[in-house]
Amino acid sequence: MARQISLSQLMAMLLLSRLFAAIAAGPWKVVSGGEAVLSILAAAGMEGAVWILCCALAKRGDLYDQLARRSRLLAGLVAALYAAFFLVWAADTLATFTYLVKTEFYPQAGTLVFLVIMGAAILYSVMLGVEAVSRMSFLVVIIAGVALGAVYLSMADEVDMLNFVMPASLGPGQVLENTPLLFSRWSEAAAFLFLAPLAKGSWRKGVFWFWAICLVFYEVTTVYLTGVMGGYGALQNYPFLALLSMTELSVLRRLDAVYLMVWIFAAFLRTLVFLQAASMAASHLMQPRSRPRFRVISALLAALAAYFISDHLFVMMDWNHLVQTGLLFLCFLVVLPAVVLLLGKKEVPA
Amino acid sequence: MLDSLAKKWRRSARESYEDPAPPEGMTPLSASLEENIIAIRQAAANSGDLVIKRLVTAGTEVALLMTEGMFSLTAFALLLAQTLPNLKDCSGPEEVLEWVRRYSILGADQGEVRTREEVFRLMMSGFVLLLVDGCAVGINLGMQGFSFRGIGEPNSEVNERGSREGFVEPLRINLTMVRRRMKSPNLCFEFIQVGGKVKTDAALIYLSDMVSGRLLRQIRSRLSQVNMDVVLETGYLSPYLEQGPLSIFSGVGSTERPDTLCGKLSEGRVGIMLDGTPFVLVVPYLFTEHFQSFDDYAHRPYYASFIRLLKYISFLFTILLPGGYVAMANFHPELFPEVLLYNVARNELKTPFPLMMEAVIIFFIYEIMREAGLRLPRPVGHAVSIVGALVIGDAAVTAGIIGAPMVMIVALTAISSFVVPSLYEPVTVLRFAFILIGGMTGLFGITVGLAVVILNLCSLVSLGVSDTAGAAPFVPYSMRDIFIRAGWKTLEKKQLNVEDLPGEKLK
Repeated sequence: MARQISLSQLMAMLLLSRLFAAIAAGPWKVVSGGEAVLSILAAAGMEGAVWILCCALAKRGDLYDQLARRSRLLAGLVAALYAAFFLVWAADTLATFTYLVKTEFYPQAGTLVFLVIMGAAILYSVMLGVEAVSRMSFLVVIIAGVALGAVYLSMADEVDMLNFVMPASLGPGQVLENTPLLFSRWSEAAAFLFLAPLAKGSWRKGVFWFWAICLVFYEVTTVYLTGVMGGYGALQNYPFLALLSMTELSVLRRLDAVYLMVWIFAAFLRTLVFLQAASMAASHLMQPRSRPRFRVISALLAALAAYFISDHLFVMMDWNHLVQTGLLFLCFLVVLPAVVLLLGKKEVPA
Repeated sequence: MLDSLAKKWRRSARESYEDPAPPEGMTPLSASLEENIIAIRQAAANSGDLVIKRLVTAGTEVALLMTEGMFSLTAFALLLAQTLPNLKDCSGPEEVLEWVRRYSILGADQGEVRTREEVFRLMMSGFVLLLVDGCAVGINLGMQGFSFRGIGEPNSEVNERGSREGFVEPLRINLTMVRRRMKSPNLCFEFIQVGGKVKTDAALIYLSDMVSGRLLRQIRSRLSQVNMDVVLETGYLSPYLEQGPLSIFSGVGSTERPDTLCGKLSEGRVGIMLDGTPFVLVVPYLFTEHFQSFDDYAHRPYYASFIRLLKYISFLFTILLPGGYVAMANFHPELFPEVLLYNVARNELKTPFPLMMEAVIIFFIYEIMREAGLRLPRPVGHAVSIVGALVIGDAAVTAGIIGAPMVMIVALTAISSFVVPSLYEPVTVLRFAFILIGGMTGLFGITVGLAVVILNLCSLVSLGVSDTAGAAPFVPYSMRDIFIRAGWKTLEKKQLNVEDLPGEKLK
């Protein structure tokens, strides 16, 4: 398969995906303070192991081809499962984003208008290909980095260490109990499995920097959220947005509305990442000429599912509970890759 | 009876006039001078500016064919009129032809023609054609002397420093301006013709040691697909050179300045010059080049970098400021500082239209005035600025049609749009689009719209080179000349070639 994008562009896409997951569905309303600092370390350690597993798997070649050398039926089943997994995450992204925007910025508006606008944009974007998405991701990551840096700099004076309690003061059990809440939405490694063949560059370096940047981001954000807002942050639906609403930059106040632009970019690109991963996963299950049609249909399905989830609060709550158990993460980022690693066969050079 | 005869004659004359025999294919010249002259007169439908001078020299009949007003009378008098009639040492048409070929210089640019189509083309390019009775070949003599606009500073690309020369309409004059600046043997001019009926001369210009062969082949292939009968401007050729998804941005640039073209050629690009227009196409053309100007490289780096950043900010202002203002005022008033918010609210209470309608109306009026100012004759052109100032600046606000903050927005947006004139077309469309989107959906819609625009821009590929190359895919050494302008000691360390940009498909 032709390597169409650079590894830094791929990692930029995954970073934006993680950024959105952190801001929109972050754990800080449940886990804060010292527990969060340790839970993040534990979750990062677990994710590091998953990354090593996924990198080893991706290095052996295309996932489908590895399993197909053993059994085409098994390969098809795994590919279909992953395609469905990514479609579900695309729908989850849209639903979470819609719920966030509706509750925080446009309380009077209906859900449908956001999904129609976002869905139309995504429908157009899936046809442009992964190269365009990756190029845009790189630019957006830089904008997001500058924006976050500005927030942290302007709020540096407001951090009060008295808001912190000693880490693990509630015992290691609490830390371990909170850890799944963090990694339950970290699906980027699975997307990497299917997008890595498109990227040229050193995977090891790219994955390490991705992991390190995410860890630093989570820790710094935890320090700010806890240090600035203390217990008040834990009462908010979106603690980071609450932090932004308190940030002032010169004459601009209520920066949550300004940073809305960054979240929209991040949600937009995260959805496209998962749709692209779904397309790559399903590519072996259809004729090449059907792939553009699949992309369009998958975008429509994701939008429809997002509408259903975001418009029915109880469905959304049930879905969040399922995600927070970590079952999806364990299944698709640990069990299935391990199965492929054990059962799959490497390509024997001629 | 006489009347009916006159009618018949007029009808037959009209019919013969309406139906001249067009030249078809490439018709070889005849050895008979008479036949050639008759055929050429017929094909030209006895056009009034066709001048044919027959004379006998050294016992051989020859004819000089030229187009009135296209050749230099001085050169004709000095080179031809005094030498050709006095030829004595030749006997026979072949010797006359041989003498003209090898033993005389009757024109600076001398060549042979063998078909009637070539005769026409060269005659209409200002050449004088010499046909010899008994020979099926003619000689074209370069004695062009048609009038053309003097070389002056281009209106569309004004710079503080640098050359004051701009391209003019004749192709050959423009080529000399490039040749004078690039005294390299690798500078190539490849002549082609475009336009099925009018056969306009065009030239591909490139440096043979820099340009990508694949890029050249693609350009040649695309230009060969131009099926138009008439090509009067290089803009007609742009759509044939663009590829990628439908976009309001173009991957084909243009310039009126020879120094700018030379700079582009040294980066491995190709220039496409067309006779009859001073605008030269440059392919491939990156998006970031819209923000570069020749002045950047003449000024000090710190100032050039400041101006470069100013251009990017102006571009964002001009497309997002009106829509952003409408979006914030309607959906996110909490973003305004209190005093500004009270002013905006107070002004909006006085006006009858919603803010979005105000913005659309005022920008529509602005575009009308801008277009009128462009087309009006100069003596009355200043009236447009007076009307504009009165209508927009005073009367509209006093009459309560629009609010005062909107006038500020319009003024700032309008001025910002002229900082990057090459992007004026997409900026105008985007501005209206973002006003409508912002008025209906707020910052959410503007952001989604902006995301789609950026994605569309990132997907554009111009002849194998991504339009956002340098910035995305990111290349560290390209940053020296994208958002800032590094000093020349840094710039000269490594040459930027478009074919070396990551993501390109030229190699």
